[in-house]
Amino acid sequence: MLLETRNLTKEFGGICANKDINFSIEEGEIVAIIGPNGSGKTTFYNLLTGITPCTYGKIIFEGTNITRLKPEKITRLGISRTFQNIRLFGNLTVAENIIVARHCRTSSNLWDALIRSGKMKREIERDQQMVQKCLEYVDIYDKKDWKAKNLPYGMQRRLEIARALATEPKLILLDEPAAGMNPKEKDELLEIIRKLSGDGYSIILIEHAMRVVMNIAQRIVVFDHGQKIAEGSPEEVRNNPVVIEAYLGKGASANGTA
Amino acid sequence: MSENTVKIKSLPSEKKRKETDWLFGMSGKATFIAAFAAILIFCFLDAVHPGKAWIPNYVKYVAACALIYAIAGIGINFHSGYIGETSLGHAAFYGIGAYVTGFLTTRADMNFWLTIPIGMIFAAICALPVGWAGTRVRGSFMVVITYGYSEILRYIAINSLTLGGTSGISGIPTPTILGVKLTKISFLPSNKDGFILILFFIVAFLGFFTWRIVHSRVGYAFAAIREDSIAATAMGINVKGYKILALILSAVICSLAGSFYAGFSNFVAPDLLSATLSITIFTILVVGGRRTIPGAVLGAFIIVIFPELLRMVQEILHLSFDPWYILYGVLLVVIMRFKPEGIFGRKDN
Repeated sequence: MLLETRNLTKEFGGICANKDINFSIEEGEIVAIIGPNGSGKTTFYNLLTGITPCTYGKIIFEGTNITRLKPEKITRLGISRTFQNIRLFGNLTVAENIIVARHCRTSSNLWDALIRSGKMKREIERDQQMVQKCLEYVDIYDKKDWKAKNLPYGMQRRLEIARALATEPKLILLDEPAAGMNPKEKDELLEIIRKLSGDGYSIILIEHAMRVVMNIAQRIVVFDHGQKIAEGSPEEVRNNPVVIEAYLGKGASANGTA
Repeated sequence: MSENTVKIKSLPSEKKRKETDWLFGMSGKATFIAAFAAILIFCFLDAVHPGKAWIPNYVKYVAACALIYAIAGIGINFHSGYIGETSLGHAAFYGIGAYVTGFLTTRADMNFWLTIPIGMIFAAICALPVGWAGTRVRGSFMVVITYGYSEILRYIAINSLTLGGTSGISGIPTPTILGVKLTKISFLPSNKDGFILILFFIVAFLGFFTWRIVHSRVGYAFAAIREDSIAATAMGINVKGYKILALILSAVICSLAGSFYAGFSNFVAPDLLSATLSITIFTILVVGGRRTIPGAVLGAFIIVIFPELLRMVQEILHLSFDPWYILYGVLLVVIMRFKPEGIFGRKDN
């Protein structure tokens, strides 16, 4: 078990954004989270990465309880994410975006910076290697000196993935990586996700594009109104009346059971 | 696509050098350093050559004022530049430095150079509550917090008898090096000014210090927080910690400027903690260019030298008013209209 949540709950005032979520992912697995808008998927990511603290519940990553850890500690342990609404460092170059992400794997401080210590030089060298490695991974190395905000949309999405990779994660959380992409870009994205999985990264994927989800996910978890309503293989979920009801409303179930 | 392909080995710094060919094919940085060295050598020769000084004392006085402001400008750059906040309260830290030096040299007979680190430490401690409050807010709220903080300190200074109340502390001794007063290097035949040389070295060192930090892991963390603090958090950056660090750095450097001001003018008053001075320090940065080192220095020279020039104009034309007060506003409006990123600033595009 790479990551596991037990009764994870987040309340905003009286609203329950996530309620008693029991979720788990094995090493090397690709799990997709689907669900209607506002069903609490992104909140779930924010809880996992520590950006918002949970009300109660437990998050266990590789056997350690990370529930109350600060976001930067969680990133250092090996969970990295992308954002639904792209959050690149727009005025920094593509390469600098990667270097920023290296922050959690480097440790030179003000003194190292002032005297340009050997440690800092080694870290810079390693950062440059990672820039090349991560950007070549998503095939945007030729744009490394562009400002991130001047990249075309699809490449910005890919840079987000590269930036997440640069933190040397074990688990990558992708938040609607295919949003706004055309079919060709979606295919390229599928390719990247397959490659990530092949290289041993575990992936949790929030996605609305069913073509992407059904193609790639080994397991699908369905959220609705902050609760986990279904879980299973793509086939099982596709035919689950509860899921169909959540998406299309009562009476729309293909089997007519609802 | 292909025209933007860059060779693998080319480092970002090499590319930037090509972008800014300023003078005689030198880069902006090289030009600046060359100009700096030339002025420094000139000042040094002026200080050591026998006979009458080339530079009039008045010019030296103005230059020293500008250099003190330049230190403050470099200081506020960490907070209002690199981390992307806005502070209208850095006079608080400037004033802390000045008051600590003023108080300790007059009341406790302490050596001027010893009071500088004490002022710095004190400024860093005083920056902590602002920094802590600043981690929870952004933008205009930070402006109000910093402004409110400097006002608190100003009222403390006004109402404290030990700090001299509204009349401040006077009679602060001029700092000496090895028994030689900075304003009058007495072993030389002419009346020379040691302040400029020292301040020049400090500005140069702080410029170097800033440059090194900005181009390091810490500097990239500042940039990430400025661009998007949530994404920075997700990338493993301790946003709160770095925000406080940036404020402390800027407070410490502003305190250094304040200490030198106290030693230079031999006098401190609650005006040093006023919003006017805070705005002046902030204006220095914005006019020169946020997130630029030459900008902070040049901004200080503009803010200090222009009123003096205009005072000369007033004398020559026999004007009944000081044209500075009108032209100051006009200057700011014109610069912000035509170069909103500041004189040395780069456009974000």
